[in-house]
Amino acid sequence: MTTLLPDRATARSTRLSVTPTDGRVHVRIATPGNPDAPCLRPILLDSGHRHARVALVPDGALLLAGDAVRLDLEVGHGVRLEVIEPSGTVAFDMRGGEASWDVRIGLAPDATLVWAGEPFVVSSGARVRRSTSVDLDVGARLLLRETLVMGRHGERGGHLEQQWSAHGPDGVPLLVEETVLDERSHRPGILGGHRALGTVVALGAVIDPDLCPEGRLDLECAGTVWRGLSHEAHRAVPREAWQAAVVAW
Amino acid sequence: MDHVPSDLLLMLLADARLPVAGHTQSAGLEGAVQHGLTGADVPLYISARLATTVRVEAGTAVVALHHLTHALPLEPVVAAWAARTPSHALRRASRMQGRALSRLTTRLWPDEEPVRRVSGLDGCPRAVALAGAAAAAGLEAVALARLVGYDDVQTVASASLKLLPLDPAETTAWVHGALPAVAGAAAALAGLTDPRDIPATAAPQTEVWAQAHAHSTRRLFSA
Repeated sequence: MTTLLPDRATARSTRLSVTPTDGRVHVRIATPGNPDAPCLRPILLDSGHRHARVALVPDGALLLAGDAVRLDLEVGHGVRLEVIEPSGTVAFDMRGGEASWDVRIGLAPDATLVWAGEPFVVSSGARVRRSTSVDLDVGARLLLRETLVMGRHGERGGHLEQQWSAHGPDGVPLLVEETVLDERSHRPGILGGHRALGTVVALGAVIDPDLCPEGRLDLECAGTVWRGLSHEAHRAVPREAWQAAVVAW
Repeated sequence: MDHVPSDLLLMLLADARLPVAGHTQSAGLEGAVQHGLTGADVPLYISARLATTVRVEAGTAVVALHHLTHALPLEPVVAAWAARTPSHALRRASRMQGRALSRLTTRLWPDEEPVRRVSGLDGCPRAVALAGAAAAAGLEAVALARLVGYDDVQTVASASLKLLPLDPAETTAWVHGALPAVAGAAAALAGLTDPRDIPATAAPQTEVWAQAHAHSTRRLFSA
């Protein structure tokens, strides 16, 4: 049982940057901090003149009380980075403790990031603070999917507070969102009794207005969000919207 | 003009009989009912809105009031609101109400600088238009935040009578029961001055309902 493991007081962060060079892109990976603490380890799958593909693999048991996952990701001028997660993440019962999961993304001019996130499950008794903060420079584009799941099968779920923000050039806010999922979020209008909340975020490009109207929210500044609510984690992300957006990206 | 006590002006602004097309609004309730919300769920829906959407709206209004009374630009407030309102159907509904409110306040307070600034703003959302009225009426930030919360609760309650077979005394009891939460939210938000601090509390199901409702042809309410 994972709950028998000791709490971790210290953290290890992950830095990933992909920058252009004359030839193949330059991929830099660092995981500074306590080597005994768990982290997300980027594994380079493929790279070329202006692109790279990276898998984020959990290094150590995630996510337990005291864990502080931190990922800083930089995509250089004109580079396209694809990030995949080989598996979802389960935040386990923290028995009064808590954990954090912070992602900071910097996209240089004309950079593209496509991040195929997997479900993040908040078990009963888990208490997690999550944040994602994105800065997009001129011409940069982001396509990201995310699924938040309240509880494993048969559970009500724990407590998740998520801050999500994206800013364009000159710090213009594109999307700012604070999602609190706990017992009270089962109320109608928030989750309305659904267990999973799926999101596709597409920023930096205007999407064909007829593409996938279901759950579609067009943002004030160029960008679109698709939302799905479901009882099943794998059904929450609007699949058609994700696939269509991947092709468009 | 003779001095008018601020509580009278607050009553005026909170009155559903104002010509600002309040009767066309259900605060998302119609979309919710179309997706299966029942009469018994309405009080929970009201409390969910007070914890999410209303905080964004009241926070926007309070920060806009600060910007109006301190000669600060309104554009960053509108940008912050728009980034926290991902649904284009909800942004459009808010701007239609903002326009109607702005037309009214321009008639009531033609010489007030805040009202002129708000009416000159392209695509002014309702929360910012309400801040213009509050500035002209001399309302405090906490009163403005209460007004936003109270109006939301009343909008749901009165729309529920048109959509569901309910007793009006019962729905008024729901409004009465929600007043402590309105007061609590207003007290928590009244001190905000920076657009970055406006709450961004999301109501995902409300957004999805609102978007589907905007495309629906069978409806009594515009939003």
